[in-house]
Amino acid sequence: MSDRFLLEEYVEAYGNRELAKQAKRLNPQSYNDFWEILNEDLEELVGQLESDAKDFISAEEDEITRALVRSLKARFYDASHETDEGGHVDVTVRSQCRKYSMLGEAKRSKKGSGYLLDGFKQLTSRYARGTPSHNRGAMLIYVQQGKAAETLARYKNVLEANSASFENIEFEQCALREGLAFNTSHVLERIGQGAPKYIVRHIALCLNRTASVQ
Amino acid sequence: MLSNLILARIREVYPAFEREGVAQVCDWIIGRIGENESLGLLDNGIVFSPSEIIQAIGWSEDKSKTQDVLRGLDFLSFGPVQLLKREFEFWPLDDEDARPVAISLDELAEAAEKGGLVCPRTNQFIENFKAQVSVAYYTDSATLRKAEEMADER
Repeated sequence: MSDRFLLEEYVEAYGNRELAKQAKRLNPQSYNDFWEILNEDLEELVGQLESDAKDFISAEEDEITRALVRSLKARFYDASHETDEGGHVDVTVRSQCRKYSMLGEAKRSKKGSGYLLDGFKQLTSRYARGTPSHNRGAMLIYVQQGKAAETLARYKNVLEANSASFENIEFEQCALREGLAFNTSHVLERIGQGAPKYIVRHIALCLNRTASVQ
Repeated sequence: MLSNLILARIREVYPAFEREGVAQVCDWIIGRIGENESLGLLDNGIVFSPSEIIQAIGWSEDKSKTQDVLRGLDFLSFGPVQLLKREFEFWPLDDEDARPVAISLDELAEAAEKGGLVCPRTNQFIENFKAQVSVAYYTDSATLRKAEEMADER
């Protein structure tokens, strides 16, 4: 018995909080569980990309997305890049049990807010299923130039100005990433009224560097 | 030998490991599986204990190193290619010669919720069950074949 690794040591090594997170990642009990832990993990992983911003400041969209997908895989998500979901979606994240999923559309911000809006339309009209346990998505906005919060605010303004294109769209602040993310929910055209709205988390990733002092 | 496909799948994720230790643990485990496989010893299976890995890699048993070992073992059990299986065993204290009893994850979850485990042998309610349940990871030929199939599918 003494040479065995005990459950109490296992719990102690992970710590109660990390162990609970690990259990949620490996075996989420509900779609909300999956969404919650995925967003917590995304926050940390996005933070890691941002801390390595110098490596991504001129990177192509796919290169940044691939780095994020690898990090998600290392946290036990069934994540992939360019999976066929009625077209090649940038990021697909499924739970290990494959019951729950989230799709992500990645766009570099330097092509402007209209380009980002096209990405949101693409995500919610072409790729999103919108069926139960598959009705959440993410817009990953890679900000390599300019001010991230202002870039996101401009995009949000354009989205609000185009609200008529998205049935019953609602906007909500994102407490996890104040000023650098917001959530929307709207009725998907392919699903219609009566089912839960499609929720999208719009996240600005700060992959820029301030100009050096001349 | 372990197929290149499995190794490729694992290495695909390596650059993203947040802690170098996890990659080191995975390397060590894969190396040991490869040695056993080349010696034809895999049919009997190999058990990996976190304590054994800590010693083999020459680490001290501090909390962060132990966590790296567990993350590595979990990664190979639940990650993109599942080379290992995780097992929990209950060890009776009243009879040292008695064999341990396998405990399912559901039973453990129920025990955590109720604050105690019902001993499968005696039906006795044990509050301090975490000191009597061991955690081990193992692999054998059948598990590796499944992992290869999974890697092929993906």
